[in-house]
Amino acid sequence: MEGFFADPMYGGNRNKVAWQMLGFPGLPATYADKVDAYRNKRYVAPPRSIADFS
Amino acid sequence: MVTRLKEVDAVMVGMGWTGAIMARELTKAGLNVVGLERGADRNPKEEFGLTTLRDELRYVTRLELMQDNSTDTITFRNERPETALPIRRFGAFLPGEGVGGTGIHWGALHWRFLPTDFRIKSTLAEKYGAKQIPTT
Repeated sequence: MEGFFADPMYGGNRNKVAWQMLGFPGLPATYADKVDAYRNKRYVAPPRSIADFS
Repeated sequence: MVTRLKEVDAVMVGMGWTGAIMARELTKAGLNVVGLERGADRNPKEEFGLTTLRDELRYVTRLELMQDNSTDTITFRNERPETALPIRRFGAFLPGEGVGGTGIHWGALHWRFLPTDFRIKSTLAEKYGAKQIPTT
């Protein structure tokens, strides 16, 4: 279960399928610059994993 | 087999904030100081850098920056007559491990003190009665 929700580098959550299902955007997990633009709106973005930044 | 190391002026047991600040003061005064700390040697650039730091399974779930409580931990009891037992599953209190101690995972959140924080004993006594405050 941990592997399914963790970053794909652990072997589960292949192609970020779990994050896509949940709508979890992954990294970088900092949204201070988006708060104003998305106020009361759903934020949708393709999830990004640690490997996407490496 | 005991290894006898060269004598120094001072040895800090624990290199968290307390040990580090004291070591800094002692070295500024010209003393030769050795700092001892448990845990793995860490490379700040690799282990505290982005994007490694965003690995939630490693740091948030498996608590990799925290003390390994399977080998050594603190004990806790709720009431005085109880026997204090080792904490094997950490909650909100998360002792750190490695150089920097608990400071390494400090989130730099520093809330402003509330007026009641400056008179905690009085506030507790008013709300729960003076008898509820342990005397020692």
